Amino acid sequence: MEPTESKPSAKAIFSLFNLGCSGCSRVIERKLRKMSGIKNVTVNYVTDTVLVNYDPARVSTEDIRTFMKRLGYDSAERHHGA
Amino acid sequence: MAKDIVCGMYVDETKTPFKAERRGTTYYFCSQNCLDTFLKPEVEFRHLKIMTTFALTLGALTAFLEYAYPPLVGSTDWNLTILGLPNYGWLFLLATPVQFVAGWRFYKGTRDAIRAKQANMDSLIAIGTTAAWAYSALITFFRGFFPQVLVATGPEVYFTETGLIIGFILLGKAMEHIVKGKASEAVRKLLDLQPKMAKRLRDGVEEEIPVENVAVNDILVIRPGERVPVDAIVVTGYSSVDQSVVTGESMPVEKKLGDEVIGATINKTGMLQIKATKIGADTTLSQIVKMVEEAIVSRAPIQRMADLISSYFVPLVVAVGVGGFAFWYFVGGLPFAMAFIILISVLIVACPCALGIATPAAIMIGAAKGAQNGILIKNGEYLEKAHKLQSVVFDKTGTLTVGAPSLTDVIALPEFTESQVLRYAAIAEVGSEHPLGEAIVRGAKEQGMTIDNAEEFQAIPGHGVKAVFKQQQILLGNRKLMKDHGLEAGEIESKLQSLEEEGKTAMLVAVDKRLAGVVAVADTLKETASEAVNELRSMDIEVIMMTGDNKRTANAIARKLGINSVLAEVLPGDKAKVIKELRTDGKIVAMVGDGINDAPALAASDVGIAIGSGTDIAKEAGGIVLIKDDVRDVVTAIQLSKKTVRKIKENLFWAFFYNVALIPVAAGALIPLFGTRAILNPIYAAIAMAASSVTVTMNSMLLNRWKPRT
Repeated sequence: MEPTESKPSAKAIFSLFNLGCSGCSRVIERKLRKMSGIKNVTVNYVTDTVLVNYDPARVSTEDIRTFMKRLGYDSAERHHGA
Repeated sequence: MAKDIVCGMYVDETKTPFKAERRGTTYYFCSQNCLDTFLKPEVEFRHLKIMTTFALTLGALTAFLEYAYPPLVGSTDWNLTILGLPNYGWLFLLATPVQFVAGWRFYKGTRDAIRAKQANMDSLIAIGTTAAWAYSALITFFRGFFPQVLVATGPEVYFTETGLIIGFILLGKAMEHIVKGKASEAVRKLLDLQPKMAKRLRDGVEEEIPVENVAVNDILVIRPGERVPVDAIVVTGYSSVDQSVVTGESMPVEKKLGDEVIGATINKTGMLQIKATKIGADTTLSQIVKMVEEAIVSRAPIQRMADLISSYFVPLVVAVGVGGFAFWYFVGGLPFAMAFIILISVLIVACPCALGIATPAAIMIGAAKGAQNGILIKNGEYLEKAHKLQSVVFDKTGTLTVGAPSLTDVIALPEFTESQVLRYAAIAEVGSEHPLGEAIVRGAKEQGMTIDNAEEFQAIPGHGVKAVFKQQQILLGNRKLMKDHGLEAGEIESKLQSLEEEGKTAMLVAVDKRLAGVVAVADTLKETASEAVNELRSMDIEVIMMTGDNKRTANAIARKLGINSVLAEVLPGDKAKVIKELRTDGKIVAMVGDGINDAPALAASDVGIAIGSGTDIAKEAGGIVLIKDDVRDVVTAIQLSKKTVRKIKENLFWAFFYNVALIPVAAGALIPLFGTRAILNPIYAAIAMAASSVTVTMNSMLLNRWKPRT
């Protein structure tokens, strides 16, 4: 039941800081998904986290953070256990 | 040394000035930055609480001055002057800070909305309250400006409304924060179970090290009362261990040499020396946490539908608001201010804010609760499917039965003795990995026989085994095997059948093309199995047993368990196909079996339930992983998913209910009936929004109280 992906893909989780309302989380998802190199985005409003599936060859986590900053959201990459 | 959980660095806890305490645990940080990051959610929440109190207090004061005070002193709010300043001036002074200080976040939100080119609740609130405030301010300072609204009691100002609207909306947001905190807490509790330090024994010296530095095969020392730091195996010592953090069972489990211990479990009475087997992300606890996190992040289909609805909902309601305003102002002839109030009220109810937390909150708490009881749900989709299950298929061996069959009967045909029959059978099955074969070999050894290895050996799935020993050909298996070699059961057939009717697996033994006898093997049924079956049937779920056994044995066992439907003589390779066939009727089918061996069958079902995974969680196939070997956990998992889905539906209902109920009223639907008194004061709209957040919050927290019914 694991999807097989042909391109290299990486997963990153970010903590978001000023997520105002649930509607904003949907906006982030839509906008972020359109970024090139991003395969999938899921925003969890309850934990203020963003899970991103991306192609590390085309985009880096810093790029993602800058993009979100431009949308107005501060973020930090989460390391496991934080 | 402690670990900074934000950046991962190690800090000396005695030297670093950056620390914070949360719920009894002290966390240390490497820098102000990391400390700030950790505290941010708390700081934000405190800020929110202050603003909420501020807004509600000033708003209440404004209400008092505008509505309650004037009648008390026998005046109207318009004509009243207090301490030289007209009443309206006071109202302005009270409402303006609320509008711009407490309400500042709505302006920030509006900026985001502009950036994203998408309206959000913040922008709606900002527009509504700012317009009301500006209008009221104009009236206050330019009394002559709107002569047409001059009435005996003076023009209406809306300072009270803006203050209280902002206050109640903030209250709703505060409620959402609380839910987010509670839901995250359930997951954090799991993480907190991970010990941070371990005591390593190297060359006779014990050293306390961060748990990240433990390597596989390191020897660690655990004293009574301490937590096991990583997954390991006991090398010295004897103790009992409380495994409730992983399995939910608080009965301590005895651990001795060679036994596995799981990280995060608590050592009770004895001292243990253990050898680390799995560390870091491979430990059982890490895998559980990872699975819970992924379940939470996943989108249940219900949620996607809710998102879809709300993406149409908001623009639709805004249109209703604008349309309502236009209607009442132009057609209904209501004064501008009244029509405007209508617009504001509708705008406020336009946003189903609680919707954002309705599903995730319930899923989070549900998944975390499950994890606390050894039930791991991999994602929201399975949670939903599990609650719709119509049939559950159990793989027999190892799931309904203990999986350790033992020899029960040996019958010999006239020319052979029983020990000969057993001996031939055992020789054929030496080195067999099949539990039936192992049972025969064990049985033979218990009778003191020494078993030689066969010279040739061939296993034929669905039939049996063929072996050659000292030039004699041994056949051990079912009737099919014998038939393939030209042999019929003959006189022994009735013995075979009666054994099968007892639920035993009877195998024919043949030597050099002559039938020698029968060996029978039986597996013990798990005690909890029939209880689980009964529970499932009382839930109107069809129970099916699937096994490779012949029909008679299968039916006998099924009868003992109370199972009506049996799929017998299923070859291991066909299990997945059988499951697929069951699903073609459109039934929602779950398959319960071993997560590794039955993986294809689990994958073929709607919800694969892997049972008895123990510590190897990641490798398990299936949508739900049960750590314990208890069949009743299947029932518990289904109950949990039903409870959680019900919670989600309730939350969604409440998230939309207040909005949907109020929209017609806010839009002025009651005006034809009751006149302009029926215009909804937007404060009530704001209260309704807060109420929906509160309801969803409280409702989700109730799920925390769920306990598995044993």
